[in-house]
Amino acid sequence: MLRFFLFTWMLAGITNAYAEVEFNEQDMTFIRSLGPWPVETNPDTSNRFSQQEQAIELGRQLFFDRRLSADSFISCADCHQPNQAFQDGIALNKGLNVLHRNTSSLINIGHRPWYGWGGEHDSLWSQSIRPMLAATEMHTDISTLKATLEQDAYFQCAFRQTTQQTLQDLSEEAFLITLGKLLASYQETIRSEKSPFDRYRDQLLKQDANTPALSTSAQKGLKLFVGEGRCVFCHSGPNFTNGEFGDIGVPFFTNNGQSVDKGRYQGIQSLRKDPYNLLGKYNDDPSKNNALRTQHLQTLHRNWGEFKVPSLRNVAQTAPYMHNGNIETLADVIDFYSELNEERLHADGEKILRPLHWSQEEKTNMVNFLTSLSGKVKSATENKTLFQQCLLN
Amino acid sequence: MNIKSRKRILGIGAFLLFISSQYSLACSLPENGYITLTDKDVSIAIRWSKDLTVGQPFELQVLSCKGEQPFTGDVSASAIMPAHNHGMNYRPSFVLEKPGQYKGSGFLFHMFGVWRLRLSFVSDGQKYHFEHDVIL
Repeated sequence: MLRFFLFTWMLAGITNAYAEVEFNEQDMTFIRSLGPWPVETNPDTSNRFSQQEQAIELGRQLFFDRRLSADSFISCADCHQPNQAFQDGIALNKGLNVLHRNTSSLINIGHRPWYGWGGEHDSLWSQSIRPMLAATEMHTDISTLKATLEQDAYFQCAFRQTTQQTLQDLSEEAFLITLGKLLASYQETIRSEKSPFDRYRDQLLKQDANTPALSTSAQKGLKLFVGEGRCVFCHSGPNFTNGEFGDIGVPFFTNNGQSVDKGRYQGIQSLRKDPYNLLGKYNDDPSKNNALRTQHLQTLHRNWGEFKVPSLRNVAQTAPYMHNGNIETLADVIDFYSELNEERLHADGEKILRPLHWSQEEKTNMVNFLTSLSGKVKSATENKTLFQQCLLN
Repeated sequence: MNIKSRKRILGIGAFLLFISSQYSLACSLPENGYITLTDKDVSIAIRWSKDLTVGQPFELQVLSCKGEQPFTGDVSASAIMPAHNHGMNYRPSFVLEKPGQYKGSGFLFHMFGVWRLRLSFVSDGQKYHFEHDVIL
């Protein structure tokens, strides 16, 4: 009898572990869709260097190399700082001039359908070329850069070993494309590991009776995320983004109201004009099966003022927020959604977003849930052995 | 071979040709594994290439008959979320694989909820419309 009571008591304990917050069938469908994590990734077929050891190492060296910018002013890593979640922690950075968009984190940047706040690019390698060519950012003079690197015996050797090509044999454009692809190979390695949320999701799915990996507050935040908040409508899938674009009413005026950031609308125009998009000759997959989205993309009136739905993985480390970096903290983001200005939204049908007027406790729960999405960040580290032969030159 | 025999052989040949042409043009839709939809005298059977996942592109296979014959004409598609009054961000395209059989690509549902798939068929100035709701 005592054994029966003990068993019942233990079972009650187990149930309570999950009864702190109840998830209905629909909640569970949404929660299931937010994983598993990490996801298996295949090489990017548009980039022949993707996931290749030597390309990753050479790409890593280029990522930290200031010679890639005009007058060796900045490297990629100066704005995408490894100790700052691969972003810069400020609203709007200043490369060679003031920018009008927030620097995105590079965590889990591989295998996205679109890159840039307006989706101006459809591959990580073409996105990597963009800041080099932008006059306000790195403003790279490709001719000068190529000439400089041709004088660098170590780089020449490492480049030849990696690409089976010599710098001298490449046109400036082919050289630029190769740099983009090497940089992308390194960036693909910047990934986050399992977060407390992922462990909790695993527990829920396995009906694991251990202590929940999420606090009760974070569990309540998860309930709001997949339920009343409707956050999961756009922040769906293992990356916590549907990969598309949305208008959430963030002002799109720039330059003290003198200009307008047209967001996705302009992004589609830029993508179509981009000679390095996946429909072009630099896509390393001759079948172009990876260009399906680019091929079928349509411009819509509602694209005006839409911006990329960002991933929420490690979001607690990537402040400030929004495309223009105008929201400083996660708590402020929740306030923004809770007190949403409906007049700024352009929805014709039932509004996905509407002000929820959450209590302070509910807001805290949401912040605790979002904070639980952070996993340890890993990226390729220096591999001294790969180009040892080149060091002897 | 006399004239009578020759006529008989020709007759049998013509009959066989008629039967085979009727056989190849006869059109029927599969009963299992497809969703069938009808508008006037055009019936179609549709199925997608894989389990539908939010944010993942998929293809649509379409089999179609106009009466007893395979449908030939222009096929186009779109989809909307009736609750939110927005559609897909992509415009699907179709290729004719063989008479009455089309493959559509470029479909992508980017949000959970009800999606209303809309297919339009046009042939000889006649328009046919089909709708089917998909819940993600």
